[in-house]
Amino acid sequence: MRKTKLLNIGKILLHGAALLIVYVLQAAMFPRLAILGVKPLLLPVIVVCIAMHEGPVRGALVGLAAGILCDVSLNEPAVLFTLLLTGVGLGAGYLAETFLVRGFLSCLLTVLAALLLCTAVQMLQIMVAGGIHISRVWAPGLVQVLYSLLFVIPMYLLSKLINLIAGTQPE
Amino acid sequence: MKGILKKRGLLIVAAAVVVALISLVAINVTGGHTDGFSGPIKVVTQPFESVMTAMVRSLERVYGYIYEYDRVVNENAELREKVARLEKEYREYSEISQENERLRALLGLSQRSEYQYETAAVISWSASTWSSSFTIGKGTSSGLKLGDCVVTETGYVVGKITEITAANATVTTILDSSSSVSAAIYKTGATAVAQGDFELMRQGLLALRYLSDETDFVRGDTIVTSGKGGVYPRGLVIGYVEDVTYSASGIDLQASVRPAAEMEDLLYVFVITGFDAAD
Repeated sequence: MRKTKLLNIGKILLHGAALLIVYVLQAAMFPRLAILGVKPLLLPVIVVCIAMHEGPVRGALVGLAAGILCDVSLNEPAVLFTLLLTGVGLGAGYLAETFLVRGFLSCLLTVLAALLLCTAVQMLQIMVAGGIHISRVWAPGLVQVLYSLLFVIPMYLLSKLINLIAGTQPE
Repeated sequence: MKGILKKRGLLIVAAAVVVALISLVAINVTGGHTDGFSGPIKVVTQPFESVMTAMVRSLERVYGYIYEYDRVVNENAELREKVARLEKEYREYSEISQENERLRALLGLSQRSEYQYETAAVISWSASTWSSSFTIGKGTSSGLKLGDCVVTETGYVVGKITEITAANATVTTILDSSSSVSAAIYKTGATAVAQGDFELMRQGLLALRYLSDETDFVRGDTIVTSGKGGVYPRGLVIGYVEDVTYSASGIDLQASVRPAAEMEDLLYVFVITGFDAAD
């Protein structure tokens, strides 16, 4: 009982550390490594990877924390990603527990769906606020999704490693 | 599972909504200030971002030593030439300045007032593809305020403060699609508006719009602030004309402008906290 509790605390700390590392990479490193002026979105990727292993409740909590960090790193005054990533974590965890087989391919497809959702919301935001036509934003949107998708492999492995260290039992 | 989702899932969604509402209220109450919500988070994450930014810059320096030696040698030669030319111009300027002082004294005119500056370090750039902004390590506690104009050490326009907390501030650059600066062509004095453009932003450029058909300008011409609007003092260099084109409709003359400030290499910026609107 006590061992399980310690493992749970350890896992929470490891998830927190993973989020912080990904946040720092997204906020400080990748803005300087833009491809065609496009920067990747890393936090939604880690949220899905963790949620796929941990289930909807912990996935949503990780999504909530990642969403707050995402809003800060994107200099977003609104709380768009706080809500969005909570929903992404909840949804990814729920899908992993009910419909999907836990594995890399499922994770990749769920990350793709999450990135498409996040990018679509960002595109919609700039289209509405800046009066910019969709023909001018879809190409960078697509590049953003593809660039971010590259990070599924390291983040999937990272979340697996955390499970290996702190146990695989969800919730 | 469904039971857990019903009990705790709803609780989490409710918590997210509450956090969202509280921060929205905080942002609205402070009129763009973010003290209420993201301020404390930034205080926690700022040291990590600073360390990471320093590491990235160190790596870039190593890369520069290895791969950019030839470019640096050529640039050095060009800069030596430029320094020689500027020294000559400086001597001429000094003579003109002295003459100007004498004439002002004769006419009883006051001296041009200086700007009040506050130096600030660049902490991190926005990770967003859709905007161009960065965070600086000073805020209201250092006397900065919303709307203050931000320039480089050489006086090139960078942008203005659009969000502020006690300890840091967000600077939206002139490249951002929400940015609009009242501008003038230095050579002729013709006025225009330098606007951020989403497509040009990703190439590191901005657009010069609302030019009259008779406007005479060519590639390389200097674009400066006109001083209209009161945000930017008059005469600050915005950038140089890169290309002259017509708008999508084919009617309006416009130009793309390369900012004089090298945005990517900014380590420190100067925030103009006060200036004479007549400047």
